[in-house]
Amino acid sequence: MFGDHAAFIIPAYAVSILVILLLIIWLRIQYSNRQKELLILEQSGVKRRAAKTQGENSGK
Amino acid sequence: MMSLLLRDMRLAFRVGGGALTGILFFLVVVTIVPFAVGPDLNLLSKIGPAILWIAALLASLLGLDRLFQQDREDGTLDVIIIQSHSLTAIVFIKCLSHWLANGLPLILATPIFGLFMNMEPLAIAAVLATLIVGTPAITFIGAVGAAATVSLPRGGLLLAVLILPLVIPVLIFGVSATYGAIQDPAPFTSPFLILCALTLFFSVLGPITAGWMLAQSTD
Amino acid sequence: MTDVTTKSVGFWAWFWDLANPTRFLAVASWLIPVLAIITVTLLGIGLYLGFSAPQDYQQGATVQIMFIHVPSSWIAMMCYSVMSVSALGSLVWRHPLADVSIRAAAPIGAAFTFLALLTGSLWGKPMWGTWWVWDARLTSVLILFIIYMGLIALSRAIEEPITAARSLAIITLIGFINIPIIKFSVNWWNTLHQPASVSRLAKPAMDVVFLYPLLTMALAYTTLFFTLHLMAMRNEILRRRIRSMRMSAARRIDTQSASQGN
Repeated sequence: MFGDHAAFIIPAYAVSILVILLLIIWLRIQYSNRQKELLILEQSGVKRRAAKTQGENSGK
Repeated sequence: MMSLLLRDMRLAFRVGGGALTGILFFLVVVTIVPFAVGPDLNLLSKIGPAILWIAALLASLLGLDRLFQQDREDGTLDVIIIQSHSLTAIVFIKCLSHWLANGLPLILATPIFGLFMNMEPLAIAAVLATLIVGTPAITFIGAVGAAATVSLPRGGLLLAVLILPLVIPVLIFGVSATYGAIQDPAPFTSPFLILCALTLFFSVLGPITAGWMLAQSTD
Repeated sequence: MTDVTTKSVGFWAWFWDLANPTRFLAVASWLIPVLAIITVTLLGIGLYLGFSAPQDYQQGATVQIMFIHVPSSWIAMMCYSVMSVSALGSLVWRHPLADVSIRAAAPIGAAFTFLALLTGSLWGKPMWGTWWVWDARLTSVLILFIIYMGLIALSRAIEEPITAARSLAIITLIGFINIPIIKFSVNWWNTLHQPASVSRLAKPAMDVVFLYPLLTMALAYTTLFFTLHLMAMRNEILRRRIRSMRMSAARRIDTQSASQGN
């Protein structure tokens, strides 16, 4: 399909896909880790400072 | 201002000051190169100016992380910031004393290292001139990096990584001017003047930015 | 600042509204899936157009690499511009999201710069016969990569968010003015040395069969970047929130134990 240059084209696409996928996976893992940490903190009764005043300064 | 300059210089040359480590490091780098490229004197005289510039660049990076750190640790920095009117001027003076204590001895030692490299007297003079004009720019750029990393425990390596891209123009014009003096068709004056311009440009921009960052880091 | 928020309407009011992290998280939670769907669609169209494009009479099949190389380089530069604007926003207007934006963008920018360098190399080898040329464009992209790495290292080294933000913003701006200087210097440096013996192909006006897939891919990469950036910003906001919660919890335990001690 790519003729003589397949050895250059296929690695270029492969690495691009790999790097972008790794980036997405890394961000997803971080996100789920953060969610877990937040859940643990909330279960142990830690409240956010802003949680109470959230409704009042919604105009800001 | 003058007293600050003298104080910093005295500290640098005292036991535990960093002034002599720079020259030692410079000597080590220059000594190692012939072992890597072979003892061919023609080759050495050809790459000599570049080696001297790289060695000088690395040696000036070496002591930069101590530019503000020592003063921060013993609290002098806070006193200076509170008392003085212009932090920019303070940073400028500190850079100047750092250059006089660490940069200038190094530059004065280059003729000897130039002889090791089998360089012509003209080439040595050119390296000397470009280093005198160019290395202050490295110190002024380094001041910004030093101010950014002042609160870090091991900021030295990070500082080198941060400012190395920024000193590339200085290196390019410094080495070009040197080769301009030796090789006939290449020009000397224009890269040399651009090098001067870079130093003047960073002597203004560097202290302003570094001073501002120091003020931010303490409040 | 309150003046601005109360007086301004429309876009700016909305923009300052986003400064509230909770509001930002709410916007991000629907914007990320939308952008992701757009990205996937555009990528599909772009890849289809790209692979169905004929071979270039000069470059042969390697023109395929262009469809991913040019968008990667474009994102590498756009990401730095986004970071520089954020740095200004952080220093001048003290917009709280600007700090988050710089820190979140740096790893993404580094990844795309890496891709630009790598695909460029893979394109250069069959076209110019060499993996790397020290010309102004390639060298400045390499320096850009080093600057990204330095910024990542700096952001990891400082734990305290505000100090880190200041340093990051300033170094970002210095890098921004430095890139044109480097480009100019390397150009100068190249004219002094013998120009590289590889023959750069003259750029003819691009045919639409190549232009359309290229533009589609560039658009796809742009939405991809913003999707990733929003995801990274969301992570960073949560990280800061967890940090401040932990600290307030620690403070409470401190005061409790102190009062019990009395």
